[in-house]
Amino acid sequence: MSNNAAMRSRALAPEIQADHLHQLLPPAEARELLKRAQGYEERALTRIYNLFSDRVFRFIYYRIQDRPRAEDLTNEVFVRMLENVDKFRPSGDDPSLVLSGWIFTIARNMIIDDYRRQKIRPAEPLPEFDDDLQDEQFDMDLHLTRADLQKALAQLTEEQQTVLLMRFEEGFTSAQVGKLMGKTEMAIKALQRRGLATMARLLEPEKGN
Amino acid sequence: MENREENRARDEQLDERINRLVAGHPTEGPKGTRAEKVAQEFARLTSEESPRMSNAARTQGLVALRAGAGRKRAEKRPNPLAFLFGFPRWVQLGLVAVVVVLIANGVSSAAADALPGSLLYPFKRFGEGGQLLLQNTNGQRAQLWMNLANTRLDEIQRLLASGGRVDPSALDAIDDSILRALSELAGTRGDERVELLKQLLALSIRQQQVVTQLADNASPADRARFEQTAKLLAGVANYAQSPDAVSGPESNPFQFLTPSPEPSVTPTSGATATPSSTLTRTAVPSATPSPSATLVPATDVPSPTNVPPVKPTQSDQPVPPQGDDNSNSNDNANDNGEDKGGTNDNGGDDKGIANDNGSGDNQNDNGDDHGGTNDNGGSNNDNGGSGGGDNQNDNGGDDNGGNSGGDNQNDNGDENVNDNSGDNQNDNGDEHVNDNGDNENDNGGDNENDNSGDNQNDNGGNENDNGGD
Repeated sequence: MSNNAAMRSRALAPEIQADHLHQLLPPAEARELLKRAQGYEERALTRIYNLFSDRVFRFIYYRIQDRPRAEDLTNEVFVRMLENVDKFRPSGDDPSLVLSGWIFTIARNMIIDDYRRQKIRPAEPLPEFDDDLQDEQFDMDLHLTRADLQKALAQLTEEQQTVLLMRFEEGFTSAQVGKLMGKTEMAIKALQRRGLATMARLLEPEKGN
Repeated sequence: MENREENRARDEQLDERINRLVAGHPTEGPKGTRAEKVAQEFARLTSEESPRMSNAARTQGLVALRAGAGRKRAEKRPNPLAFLFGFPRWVQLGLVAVVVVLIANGVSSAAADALPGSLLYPFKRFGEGGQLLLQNTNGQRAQLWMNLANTRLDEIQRLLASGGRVDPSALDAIDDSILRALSELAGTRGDERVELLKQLLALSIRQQQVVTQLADNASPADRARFEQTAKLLAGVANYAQSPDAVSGPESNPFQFLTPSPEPSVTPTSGATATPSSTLTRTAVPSATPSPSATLVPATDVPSPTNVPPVKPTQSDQPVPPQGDDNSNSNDNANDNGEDKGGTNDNGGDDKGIANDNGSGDNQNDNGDDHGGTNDNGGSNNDNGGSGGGDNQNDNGGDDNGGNSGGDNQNDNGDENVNDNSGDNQNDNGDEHVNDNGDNENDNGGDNENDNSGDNQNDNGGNENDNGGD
């Protein structure tokens, strides 16, 4: 049964997720944008900024929960992109994923640098409880606010946060996130399950308190 | 092992659920795992709330991005020396030095054939200046100046062959090179000097031939200038083959340009009419080298060797206190200039002294006139000499040549003096010494014309008188 589910998900995921990413940025446009950006063409750079600025902002804002600072860091991401665009050598057969992944990797590194500057210790992975691994069915009416979500998210490891935000905010598939983070697809799936399970434990009223 | 398989199955199931959630598909009721519940809320919140950057932050980001792009574009412009940045400093400097030398060499090579008026010609002359700086001895510099004189002449020939017009400055450059070679020659001695003199002789003769040929083919406007250089070269040739030139550094290499004055014949009438005999005048040699006619022993001429020989030295000897005479002498000077204007004598005058001075000018002008032509020049000289005893010197010039001998010389000079100034009293003494008969005739015609200040007429009168004599 589990094997069947896995096969279904593999068959289903690409057509759903690929649409989401490539609707946002078709591969041909991504390739062209990157080429023109490497020539510091202003219009191409503006287009990239307009395509990614809000997404990068949300990615950062979820993590640091400080709007002005998130905005500053977002703009710094694009400045850093500009500084390195001529040296960037895309690898991979999907220009859309390559360009998106590069920009989010810069954003991720920016957040890590900011943590270091703020002397914020990264979250240690919480110990896994046995019941997290149980396929328990809950008849629970969970209604979260954004603040709840952010608070719980901040308790996760950096990798878990990245995976969940990439999956939910950006709509990347696990395979795509794996490519961006240099991990296998299965590792990404495990990270997202553990991350969500940890959040559930933190957010469950009875156990969270 | 079984747990791992179960976990993988849960991972896949959850992943599929998330895919559906993110894609906006409805979930399957309230039942689900804890993780699925959180995922459901996560998906709901991210779809409901989508925080965006403020407009201010967006504008700021775009401005920064565009400014950075502009700066990058400016930096990206090709830097011809960018490849050097990876090398150590000393390597960079060395490579730059090598490139500069190669470029300079290339420019000088390209400029080697440049002609006056071309863009590369200044580089050529600049390079020649650099060569001169590298010469250590007078002999080397003299040699180089001779080479440069050859180069200048070659340029003129090529310029003419290509249909261009020769700028007078090109001929000035020949004159300058030759004279500088002479100047450097003064600092040489011994075998080197002899050898250089040989080269100078060959050079000047060859160049004189070429320049004379060019003068013959030149336009009337340019011919005089060519002839001037030809005369200079003839003088140099004469000097180079004279025994005095070999004698040593104390020999004046410019002596051919500054013949010593002959001893003046002091008029018997008294000191007031005695002109200065210390005037040194420039006598340009005739086109055909004739050492006997142009070369004067150098030891007689105290002219400094370093001074360009063009300007004559002139003493401040007082002019005889004859008001009318003085004016006459001035007239003569102008007359000479005018007379020459129509003839070949102008060439000689232009080069040397022209129409300049007061009474002293007459003497100089006379010399120039002689150099150029025959009778007309001579008559001019005589007229110019009306200032006094200068006529004696003038007599020694070309006027006499071929015509009537010593009588004419004296007559012309004396007549003019008397006629022009009207001071017969002073000058009569001189006239009587030699040519009484001539004076009578000349006085008649000349006096009339002289009073009106028309020296041209006087010249004509003199010539006629001479012929008659």
